[in-house]
Amino acid sequence: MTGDKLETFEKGGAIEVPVARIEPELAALWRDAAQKSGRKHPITRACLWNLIVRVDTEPLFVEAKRLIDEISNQVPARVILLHTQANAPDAPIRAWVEANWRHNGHGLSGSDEVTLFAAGKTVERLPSLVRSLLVTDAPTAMLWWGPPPAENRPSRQLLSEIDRLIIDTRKLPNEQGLAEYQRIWDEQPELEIVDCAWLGVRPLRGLTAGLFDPPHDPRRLEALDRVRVVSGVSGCQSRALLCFGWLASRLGWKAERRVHGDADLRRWKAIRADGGEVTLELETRLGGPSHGVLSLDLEAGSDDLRERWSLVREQGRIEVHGPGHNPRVQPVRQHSDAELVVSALGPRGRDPIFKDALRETVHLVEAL
Amino acid sequence: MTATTPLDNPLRAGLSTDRVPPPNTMVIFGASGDLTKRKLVPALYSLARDRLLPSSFNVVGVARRDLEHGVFQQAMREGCDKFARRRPVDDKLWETFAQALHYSSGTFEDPKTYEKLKRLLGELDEKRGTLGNRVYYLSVPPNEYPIIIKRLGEAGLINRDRSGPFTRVIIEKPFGRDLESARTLNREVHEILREDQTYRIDHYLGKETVQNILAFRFANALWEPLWNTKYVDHVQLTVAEAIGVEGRGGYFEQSGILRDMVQNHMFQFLCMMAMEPPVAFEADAVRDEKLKVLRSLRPLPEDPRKLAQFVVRGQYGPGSVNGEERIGYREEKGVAPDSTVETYVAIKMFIDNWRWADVPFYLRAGKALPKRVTEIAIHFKRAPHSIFPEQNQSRLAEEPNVLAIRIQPDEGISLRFFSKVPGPSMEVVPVTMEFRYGTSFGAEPPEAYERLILDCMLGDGTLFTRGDEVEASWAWIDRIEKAWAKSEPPSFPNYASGSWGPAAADELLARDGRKWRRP
Repeated sequence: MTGDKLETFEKGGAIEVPVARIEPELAALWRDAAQKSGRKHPITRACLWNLIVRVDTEPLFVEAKRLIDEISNQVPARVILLHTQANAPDAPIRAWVEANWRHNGHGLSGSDEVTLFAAGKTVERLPSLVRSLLVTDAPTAMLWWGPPPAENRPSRQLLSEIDRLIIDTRKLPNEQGLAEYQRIWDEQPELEIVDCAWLGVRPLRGLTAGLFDPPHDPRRLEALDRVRVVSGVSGCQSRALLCFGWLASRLGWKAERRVHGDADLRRWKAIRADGGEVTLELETRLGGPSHGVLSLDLEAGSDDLRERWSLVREQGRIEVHGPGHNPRVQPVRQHSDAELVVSALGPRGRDPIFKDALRETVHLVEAL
Repeated sequence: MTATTPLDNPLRAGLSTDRVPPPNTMVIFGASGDLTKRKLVPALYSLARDRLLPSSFNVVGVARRDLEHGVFQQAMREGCDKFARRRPVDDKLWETFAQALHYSSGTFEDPKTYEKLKRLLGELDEKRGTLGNRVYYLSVPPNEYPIIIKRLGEAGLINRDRSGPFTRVIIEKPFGRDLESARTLNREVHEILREDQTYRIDHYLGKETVQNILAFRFANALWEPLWNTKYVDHVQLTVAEAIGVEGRGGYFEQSGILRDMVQNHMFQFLCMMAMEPPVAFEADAVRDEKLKVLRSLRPLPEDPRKLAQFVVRGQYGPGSVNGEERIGYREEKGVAPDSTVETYVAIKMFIDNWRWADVPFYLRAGKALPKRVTEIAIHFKRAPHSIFPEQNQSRLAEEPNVLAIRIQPDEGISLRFFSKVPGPSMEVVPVTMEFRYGTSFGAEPPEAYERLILDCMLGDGTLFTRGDEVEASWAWIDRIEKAWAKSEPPSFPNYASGSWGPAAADELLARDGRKWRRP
């Protein structure tokens, strides 16, 4: 091992290695780094996950490298970054290895990062290489931004190798992508799919649920007849739609139909478990704070005895109001992509409610 | 309205990690003290920040000093600014949190204090929907527990029935200073409260790593077959502190480290490490098993000379810790110049049950030791027969497999085992496999007080100590105290600050052919 290589490794820089020697080169680098540090600064090589990240453009590659640095600082993982250019001329696969370091107490711990570049037909050989690089006994997650991988693409093959697929439906080019993910889940029910957009709805779910905790009667939820969500973002409105999907799945609303639809306001009708009707409204209000759910309003009751619960997001906090509740202000903040991925790799990535919420969300998206 | 629990709320599904307790008011007696400002209110604020408090919630501070609500709120804000886990404090959240903070002055003996408190609590129930649910936190010297509980009962501020609003009382250690006083305290408490309304808090049990002992043992089938006299040679428990008594000389003179550390914290670790699997992770199931361990402790001899074969006590003299000069215990403020109070204790003990028959448990706790460390180290027996060449024999005999559970700092678990050194000869050396919380989990764990206060509000007593556990531990400790009282005054100080304790503690293990692990 040359001193230059080791120095690059210790600084977290990438070192190009022959594809057939990825593991031996990594092992040698770790061994040399540990020997050099001696017992003064113990070095730990850690891995809780295999994390596969795939990008197909240069800007996304740069973005992914930054994201991986942030994620590795929180969750030690062997990251396998796939940089592909399927439409470029054929080129041999190239590989780089590096370490993501973090200080931990009295020592230093680090995790592996392997970057693989493939172009043209060699992209098809990546799944077999990835399989050989997965750390035994560590679960495998794949971070996938964009529409689901097409059925005939090599990356789709990898879905059968992984335990958890981390997506961000906010980044979908259109809302039909939600339905495509639903289909993948139907085909592969044992796969855990985690949506960063859904994770961002969690504080709102907790606060909404709190409005119906004792001493407030949760049966009032059964009488809801209007739900309105205001979204502050354009493009795929997945957070707002997932809010509806969540409420519909938890409260047993069915047979959604679309009764109004334009760019700024969409409206659906759904049937409650008791046969009553619920109006769902999604308003898009751009130009203000940017978040998928700026406000959530729930209403129930007759005209003369109307009850209203509201959660309004303003400047880093959600204000919560409801009949019989003390006014409540809850600080919230925008979570970075890296924070959401870290959360997706944690216990919150296993949320049994999401599957039902996604199914109901897809009903809304596909409702005529 | 039908009584409901959060589980009846369909929107709560999938939010199981967000355990939100029912509406309630926490009344803190001794609210002008340091604990309220440094720990309790900052813990409550962090819970609010994490959306783990109900929207209907109040804190009422009670203390002798006359204070306006606003002054109390300001003092608590300062405490949160300095000590809350979730910092900086969010101004908007603080506005609503501060609306829940109230103060009521009065002496703890005076019935009028409780009449006034009752009126305030009634108003708060009315205004803020707290439904009469109460958690009383007694952050006061233990000699004041009985009168406060008695007065609360007389004022009708305690609901002993299982139906209706709940009343729970949290009390801080020490729970007595010997068996007799512990029994008296329990009796006085039980005159007013049911046992399951009494939450004896030991903040060590709120630490993630202590709770992880249970997860490590009972979520992994791997260890259970080895966790017994057949494979375990001995167990070492260490609670070392680098600091001295730090201005608490007056208190320490009355307790000593045996009472201050061993009877509570160390016995709790011991129980968690040694107990049988409980039938469920539920309060009484866990505490029943802990109690069995305490009842299985082999009594030590009362004869001081025989006792010295099992217990070593020490007191630190001048020295240096971490390169800094330190005074001896007898020079500390509030300490008698001829004090015979122990600042170090090492104990060899046995748990007389099927699982641990004849396995020595060595406990040591001390102040002014070289570093702060709390750990449990399980030393396994050597392999029954060595097939390896001569040069390995002493190593194999002296450095057996060790499983160390590090509770603080650098929380984690390490396992030492033998491995072949690469090369042409068959040479084996011990190597270590490490798990560290800091490496594996990025998330910041909650403060111990957050976890324990939340558990109390939820009615979960699993991590609190039951009255019979307290009595069983005092019954065992009392024999040592009595024997010491009968013996010659020890020749103190007998270890220098910054050392690992008196030489006699090393001899205690050396007599058994063992030595203390250097943590």
